[in-house]
Amino acid sequence: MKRAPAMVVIGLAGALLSGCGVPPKQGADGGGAGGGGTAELALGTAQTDGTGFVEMPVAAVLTPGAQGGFHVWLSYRVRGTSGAVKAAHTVRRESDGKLLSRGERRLEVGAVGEGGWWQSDTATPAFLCPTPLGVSVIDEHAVFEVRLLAEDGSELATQQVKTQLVCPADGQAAFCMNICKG
Amino acid sequence: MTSRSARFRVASGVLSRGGMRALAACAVAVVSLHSLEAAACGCFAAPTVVDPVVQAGERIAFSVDGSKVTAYVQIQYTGSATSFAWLVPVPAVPEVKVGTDELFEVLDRNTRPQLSLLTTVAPGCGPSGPVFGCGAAASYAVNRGEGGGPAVGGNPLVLRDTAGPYDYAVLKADSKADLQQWLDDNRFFVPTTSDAALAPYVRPGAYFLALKLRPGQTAGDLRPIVLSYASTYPMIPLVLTSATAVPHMGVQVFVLSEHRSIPRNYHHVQLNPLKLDWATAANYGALVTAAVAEAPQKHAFVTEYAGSSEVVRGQLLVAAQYGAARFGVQSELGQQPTPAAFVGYLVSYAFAPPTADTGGAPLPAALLNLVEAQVPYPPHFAEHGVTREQFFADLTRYLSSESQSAHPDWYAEWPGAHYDGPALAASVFESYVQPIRDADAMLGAHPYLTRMFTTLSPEDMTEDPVFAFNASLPDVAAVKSATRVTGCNGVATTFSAEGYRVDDARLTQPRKDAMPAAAVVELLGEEGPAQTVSRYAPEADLMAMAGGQGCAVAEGAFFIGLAAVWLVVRRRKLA
Repeated sequence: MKRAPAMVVIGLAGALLSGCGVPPKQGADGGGAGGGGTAELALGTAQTDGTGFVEMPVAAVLTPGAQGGFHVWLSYRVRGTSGAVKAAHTVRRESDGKLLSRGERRLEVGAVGEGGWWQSDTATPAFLCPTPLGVSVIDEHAVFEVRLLAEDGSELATQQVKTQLVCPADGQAAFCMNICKG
Repeated sequence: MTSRSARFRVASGVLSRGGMRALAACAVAVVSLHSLEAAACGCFAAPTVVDPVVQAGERIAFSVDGSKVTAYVQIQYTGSATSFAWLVPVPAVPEVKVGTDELFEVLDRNTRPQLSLLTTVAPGCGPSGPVFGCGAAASYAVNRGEGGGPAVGGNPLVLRDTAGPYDYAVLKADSKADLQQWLDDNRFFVPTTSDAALAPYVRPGAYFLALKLRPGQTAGDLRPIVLSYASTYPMIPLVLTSATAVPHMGVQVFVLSEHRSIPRNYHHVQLNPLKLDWATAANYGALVTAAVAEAPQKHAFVTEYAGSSEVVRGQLLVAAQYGAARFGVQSELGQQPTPAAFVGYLVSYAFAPPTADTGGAPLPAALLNLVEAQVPYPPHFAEHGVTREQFFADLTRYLSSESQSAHPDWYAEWPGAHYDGPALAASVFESYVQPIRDADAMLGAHPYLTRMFTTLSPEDMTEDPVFAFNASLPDVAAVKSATRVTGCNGVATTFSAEGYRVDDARLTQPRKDAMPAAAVVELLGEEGPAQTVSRYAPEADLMAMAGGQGCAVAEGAFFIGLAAVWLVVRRRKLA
C-alpha cells in the first residue's frame, strides 16, 4: 500500500516527461507550428523538385530520389529564432511505430518573410526506400516528426505531421513497389 | 541438443544431498581448470593468429556527418587507360577530389579479421601422458602442423573539370539517351551491358559523375576518388556495378560515423565458426560467400569490425618506424638543390606509406609520377636493365654528366631534367600530401568505425545496399577466438568458438560440410537488438557433453558447480 503513491508519482512524471497527450500546436500555414520550445516550426512538404512549402497532403506520393530510392520532401518554416539551428527528423510507421528513416540538417535561419516566418530554400528528403528489411511503407500511414534544436542541443520546437505513403502511378510504380515493400 | 539443454539435464538430476556433494567436488575440479587457463606460464601455447586474405573488387569508405556523406572509392581496374571510364549516380552535384590508397591500407590493416586459435590441454593430459606444465607448447606445435595451415535541352552536362589523373563530368540524369549520347561524344567509355543497369538511376533531379583518365595518364595512375554530397544514408550503386562485376565479387565497406553502421535493406550474417579453417583462414572468403548465399536473395553483409575508430586515428601522419611526423616542410623540400636531394628528402621524411621500409623501398608510384613530370625516366633505360625505381633511387648517378657521356645510347630521346624545386614541392604537397592529411582528418572526426564485407555475383546485384546506424548494437572485435582443449583418458578433446563448444573428434569434415555456413542470419534495424531469422544449433551428438565424459568439458559446468556449492553451503546453514 505504501508503494502506490510513489508509483503514481513516477507514472505522472513519466507522462509529463514523455509529453504524452499533448498535441502539437497547429499553425495557420497548413503544416502547423510546433511548440515545445521557444520557437515555432511549421512542417510541410515541397514541390516535386524540392522547392517551396506545400501542406502535407493526406496521401503523399513517394518521390524518386537521385540514387535509385524514394523519399518524401520535408519543408520547414521557422519563426521565433535565428542563426544556426539543426532540424532532426524521424519517420515512423503509424501502425507499429517502426522507425522508417531519420536524419538531420543544419539550417541558417535568416531574414523572415510573410507572417514572420523564415523558410528553407530547399526541402530535406526524408529517405524511405529502400525500406528497412521486413518493413513495408506502401499505403502505410507514417508520422513525420521534426525537432528543431539549438546549437547546444536544446530543443527549440517540435512538430509532427501524418500522411499516407503511396507509390507513384507512372513508370516508377513497379520499381517503387519492389523496393518499398520491405 | 544445445549446450543449454545439456546443462539443464545435469542440473535437474541434482536432487540428493549426495549428488550435490559430488557436483560440488566436480566444481572444484572445474575451478582448477579455470585457474589453469588463467595462468600465463606457458601451460598453453600462444594462440595462432591468421589473417584471411580476401581481395575485394570494390572498396568504399564512407564518412557521415548529419546530412553529408563523403565517399572514398578505391577503383580497381586492369586494362588500357583509354578504355577506362567510371560512372556513378550521385544525389546532388558532388565535390570531387582525389584520395589516397593509404586510407584503405590503414583501415584494412587495423580492422582486418583475425582468427586466433588457442590450443591447450585438459587437466591431467599432455602430449606424452598425464603431464602438467609447459610441455603443452609441444602439443601446440603438433596441432598447428596438423591444421595445415544544370543543363539546358538535350545537353546533360552540368560541369566538367579535372581532379588529379582524372577528367570528370557531372551530368544530369534526366534522359538516358542524352546521357549516353554525351558519354559517347566525349569518349567516356561505358560498357554496353550497363544500359539496363542505368535505368533505375535515370530520373529528373538526379546526376551522374563520369570519370576517365586524362591524356598521358596510365591505368597505374588510378587513385581513389573522393565524392562529397548531401545525403543521409550511404549507398553503393551495385545495380550499376553489375554491368562489369565478376562472380562472387567482394564488396568491402568502411563507415566512419557516430554509431555502428548496419545494412538497412540487406540481411546480416554471422559466420559459422565451426566451419572456419582456424589454422590458415584459407576458407574465409568462400565461407562468407556461402553464408551470404543462405540469406534471402543472397543479400547480406558480415560485420568484420565495429568499434572505436581509435584503431586507425593518427596513423596516416606518423611514420611508425620513426615515431615521427611525416612529410617535413614544403618550403624545405622546395629548397633542395638537386633532384637527387629532393628524392632523398622524400625518403628521409617518410613520404612512402608508414608500413613501407623507406630505407630502400621505392617511393609510391603516385609520388614518382609527380617527380617524373620534371625528371622523366629515360625511355631506353628499361632495355638496359635499369628500372624506373632504380633510376629514381640513384638520381645522383643517373643524372650525372659522366653517366650520360658513358652511355649516350641510354639517354637517346630523353628530354632531360627540368628541375624546379619549389614548383615540384608544391605539386607534391597539393596532390600527394594533402589527400593524406584530409583522410587523416576524416578518420579523426568520427568516433566509430564499422567494417562490413560481402560477396555478390552480377545476377544478385538487384538492389543497392543502403547503410544506416544503430547505437544500441554491440561492438564486433576484429579478433575472433577459438580454443581447442586436448583431452585424454576419457575426456574428449573439445573445440570452442563464438559460443559453440563441441566434441572435436566428431567435428569431421563431412560434418562441417553439412553445416550451414551462417551461424546466424538476422535483421539489424536502426533501433533495438538484432532480430534473428535463423540460428544454427549443432546436432546433439556433436556437443561436448556427449558420452558423459565428465564435467571438465561441459559448457557452463563451472557455474552449475558454483550453484551446487552454494546449495550445499546453504543447506548446511539451514541444518
